[in-house]
Amino acid sequence: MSNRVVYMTRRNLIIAVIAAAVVAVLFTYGVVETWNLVLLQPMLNFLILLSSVLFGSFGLAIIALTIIVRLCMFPLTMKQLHSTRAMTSLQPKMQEIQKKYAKDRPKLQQEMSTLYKEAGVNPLGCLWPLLIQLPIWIALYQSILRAVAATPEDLLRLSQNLYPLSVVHQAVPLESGFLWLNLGSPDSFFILAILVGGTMWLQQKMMTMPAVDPRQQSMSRMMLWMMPLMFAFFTLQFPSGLALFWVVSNIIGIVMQYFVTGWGGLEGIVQRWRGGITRAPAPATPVVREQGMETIEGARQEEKVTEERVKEEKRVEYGKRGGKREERRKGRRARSKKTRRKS
Amino acid sequence: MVADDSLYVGTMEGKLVGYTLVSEPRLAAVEWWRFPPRGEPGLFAIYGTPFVEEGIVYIGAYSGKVYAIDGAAGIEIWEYPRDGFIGPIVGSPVVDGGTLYIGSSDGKLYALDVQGGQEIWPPFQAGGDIWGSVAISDGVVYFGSFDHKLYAIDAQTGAPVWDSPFETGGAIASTPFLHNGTIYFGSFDNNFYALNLDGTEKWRFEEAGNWFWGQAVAYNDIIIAGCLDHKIYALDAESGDEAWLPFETGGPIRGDPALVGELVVFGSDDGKVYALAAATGGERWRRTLEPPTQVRAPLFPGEGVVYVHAFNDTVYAFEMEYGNTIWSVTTSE
Repeated sequence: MSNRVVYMTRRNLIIAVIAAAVVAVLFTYGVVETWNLVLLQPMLNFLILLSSVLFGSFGLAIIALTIIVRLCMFPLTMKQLHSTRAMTSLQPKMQEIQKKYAKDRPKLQQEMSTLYKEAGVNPLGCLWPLLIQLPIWIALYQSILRAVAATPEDLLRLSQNLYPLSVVHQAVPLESGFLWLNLGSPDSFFILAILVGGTMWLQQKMMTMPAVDPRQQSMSRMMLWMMPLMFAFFTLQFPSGLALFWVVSNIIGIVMQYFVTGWGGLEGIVQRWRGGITRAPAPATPVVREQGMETIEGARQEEKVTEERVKEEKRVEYGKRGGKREERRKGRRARSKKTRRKS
Repeated sequence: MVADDSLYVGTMEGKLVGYTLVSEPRLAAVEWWRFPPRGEPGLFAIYGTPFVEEGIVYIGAYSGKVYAIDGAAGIEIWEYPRDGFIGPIVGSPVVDGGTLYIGSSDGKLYALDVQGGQEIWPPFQAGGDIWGSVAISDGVVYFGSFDHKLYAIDAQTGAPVWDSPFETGGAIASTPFLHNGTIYFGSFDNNFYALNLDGTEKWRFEEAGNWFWGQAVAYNDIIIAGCLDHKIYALDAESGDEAWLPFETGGPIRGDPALVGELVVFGSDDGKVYALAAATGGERWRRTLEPPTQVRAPLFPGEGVVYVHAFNDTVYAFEMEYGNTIWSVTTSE
């Protein structure tokens, strides 16, 4: 317990130091400069460095950086995915409570918080990993756009964001050719647009869980199509370097999603594809039982416990009923003995 | 570009605008024509300085075409290529001996006949984009490329003159400057180079903190070049030693400086125009452009006047004595 207290204090201290440093930099340099210093410039220079290492290929550098950033954020992403899944599995119970206490708001809130507490789920648990990741994604997105530097203005701006390393300066301007693409301009063959839309649809489909509420169902069906179409359209407008990042990021997202929820919403399609003979084996989910237990594993274990309890109760009930039956049988036997004696 | 009381300006809207410089009732620039005309779509952007010869204005557009325009009427005489486009053009065209030389982002250097825009020789293929302009001396064309190399090719045939191009550590976007049999240019490896005409290195200056992009100028034996590390450097033409301490501004110096008499005038991304004594580096005056903007285009010297085309689509004329604004005109429609 004391160790835990010490650990928490240390962690808080580190967080406080980081927050203080960020605030100090913010006051000294302003928001834009701080953003550039803390996030954009490190990522941009690393991207250029990667390009220099990977045979001067900007395309390979984008792929490598996307993989590295996603790996660095792996714990956060997993936490977010687990939280989302756990919240989804609570949906039926939540709806039940909402129906039951529709007119009693305080009671509803109380019951909901009890439900969260019992299930060990934090309703904001899926939000904060997303919030932490968001600035990193924006910085990555910006650094790719800046590194492309197709026009003289872009190149001039890029020059002011480079670290004084000869390897970085010498690598610029980056080689914009990659496969059939010019990473500085949109893909004229529409292949990337299809890939972006397709991978995004797959990821969304895997994430979509069957909803009980018809409104929620129609909403998720709309999102399933709207987001991929929107991003496919963006791909036709933006430099293909950015679209390449979207494709790679989506593919990594699909792989991660598979290891958390299996095929999820794609289960039916996968089974149909396999001819319905074999069922797609659900991947082994790592047991991540942390404080709060806002994980799908937690929800699954709880479901198992409930099932066990129900079975046990049934057994007891059956046993009780069996005992009564026995008593009745004994009574019947005793009564028939008496009648036989009388006769 | 100023020629015969006319000022020709390429704009970021992709228009070439012809102005007449008038002195009555006051000094001013009056728009004469624009190509393409008002209301018509532009040519993406015109980054390079127009080249004027015998009343014809030559421009390279970012859309990937070279144009010859009648300087009196603003009417197109020819365009290259007639069909389709080459890569985006950033540098300025240079005409010498009836041939127009211009580089493109497709990595090719084109030599065109000024009469009709036909190719004189097949385009010379470099290994990277050509964003700078060419320098020509004694029938040899010198230019740099993003492939880190400085090329020397025969102006008549397009054949390489050196056994192998001179290689630096970074991309070359600056236009080489020829002075007393030496080629001066800067590179994205943060170095400034001096080469002999046979392509051998004379010296290199390695103290800068960022890229050299603009073309250098020479005052006596001092080579003056702006750098993206916010400083302007003055180097001894023979040794490469610093002639005076670098002068620091508040932003990168992208455009070419201009020499007017004994002053070197240059603009910076900090939105100011500076005039220094070319011999000593002493500051004579500085002017902040209004409304606030950046200076990225080369400055053009006139008689006691320097013309500054700022990033806010405004051309300013400064008198050289005290740096007062004579007039300013907006180029946007």
